[in-house]
Amino acid sequence: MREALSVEFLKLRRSPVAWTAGLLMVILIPAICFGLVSVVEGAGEGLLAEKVRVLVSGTGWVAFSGLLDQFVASALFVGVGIVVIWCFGREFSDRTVGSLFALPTSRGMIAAAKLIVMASWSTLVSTMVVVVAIGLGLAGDLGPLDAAALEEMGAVLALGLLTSLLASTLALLASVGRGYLPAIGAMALLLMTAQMAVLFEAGAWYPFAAPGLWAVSGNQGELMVTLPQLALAPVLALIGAGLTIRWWQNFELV
Amino acid sequence: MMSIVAESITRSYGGDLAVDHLNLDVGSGEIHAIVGLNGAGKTTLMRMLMGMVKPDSGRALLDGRDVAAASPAAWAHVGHMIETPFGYPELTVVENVRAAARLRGVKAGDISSSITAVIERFELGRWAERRARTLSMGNRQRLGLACSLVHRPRIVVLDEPSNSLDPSGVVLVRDLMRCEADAGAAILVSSHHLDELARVAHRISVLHRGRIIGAIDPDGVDLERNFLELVHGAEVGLRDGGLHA
Repeated sequence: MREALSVEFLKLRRSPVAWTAGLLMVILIPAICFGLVSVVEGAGEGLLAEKVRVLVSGTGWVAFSGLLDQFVASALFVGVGIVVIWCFGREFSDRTVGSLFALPTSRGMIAAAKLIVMASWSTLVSTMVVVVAIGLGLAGDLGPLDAAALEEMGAVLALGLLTSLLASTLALLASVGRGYLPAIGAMALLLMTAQMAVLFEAGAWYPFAAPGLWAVSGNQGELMVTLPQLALAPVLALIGAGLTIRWWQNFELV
Repeated sequence: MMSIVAESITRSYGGDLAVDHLNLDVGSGEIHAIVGLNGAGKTTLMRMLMGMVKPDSGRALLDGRDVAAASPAAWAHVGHMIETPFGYPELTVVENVRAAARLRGVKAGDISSSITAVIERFELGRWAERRARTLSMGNRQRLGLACSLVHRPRIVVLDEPSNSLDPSGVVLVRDLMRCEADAGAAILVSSHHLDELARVAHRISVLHRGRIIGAIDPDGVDLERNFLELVHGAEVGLRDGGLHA
């Protein structure tokens, strides 16, 4: 297992896809959200300010974390999803998969190593998004980082981790689809169905919508998500990981 | 004694029979070459021997054990390059060879010396720190071979190893196969270049429509004529058989 992990970490470290996606998420998500909060806090009167006010509730850290929740739920899913799809699909698209047969390191182990590397990388990215956001909030004078603000930012981090877990299920689709395109199509479909589930008030039971709904609603009111409903996301990720490892262990080149 | 054996192995894709009840063996210290036209079944046969494709019937054996049940220890003695050479474009030549050595179970203490030796052997030193994506096709092929052989395997399966290689690369591969076989490796190799195979192979089997239809003496003359006569004879036999049926 150590061998597969070291190889997969090396591939990730040298990957332009992972660096680009990671840096874009870590910089752009906090920067855009902070920019939008600044527009509202600045009492702007323009069209943008009017539109942003619809998205924002509260002021200061509450407004900032609320916007972060909305962006993290979708942008992180896409960003992490793209790297997960690259990590698994590239072996088929680059035709390197044949070299992963007939080795003392089993393909199941290689798949498990890929999942571990993706989990570590997405945890780092989710954490960095929150760290950069806190830095921006402090520098931009959103108020003191008190316990309530920390709780809000903790919820953003939890949402980031849950969203990353959900994105890891795309590994199975990139594997079964033997390349990037089927999984990218599935990712778009999952985003769309999550929006529809929320629209039809079934989001709490839909794992791809529940974490976003939980964070955005502040877990209050009609949109409240229960713990079992929220737990469906990690359960789904675990099932996806198990199926991915099993598929890699047994598939054949055709 | 390391060996690889195909026992009445069969595989079809849809209605197309790619390999048809084929028997083949390669023993320790032997270079067994297979030749055939495009689509004869060479790659499918090699894929089955390496566990990449499951046979519909028959067995592929690695040292007497079915490849489907081969242990990690058994695979640690195997090196192969079938179709696409190993090589991640974002990694340098050294990083690729190190990755291959790790995945192939080379002991941590032996990795550096194995990398140095194989890079020297394939004359890749000049490009050692270059990313694989910037290499020429020929050097990518050399890199793939280096990755396949970094662990000095005792069973070697190579599909068209001299593809894209310049004449010095072709000689290098030929010398390498000879050297490994002399050291006891069992080598199965495919190629379209009969003259090249004749210089190294102990046996040359002709594969056509998924079956071994005969053998060519590597020391014989006019190998291409012998090959084409065998293929033509098989086609005539099939046609007549079809007519009589």
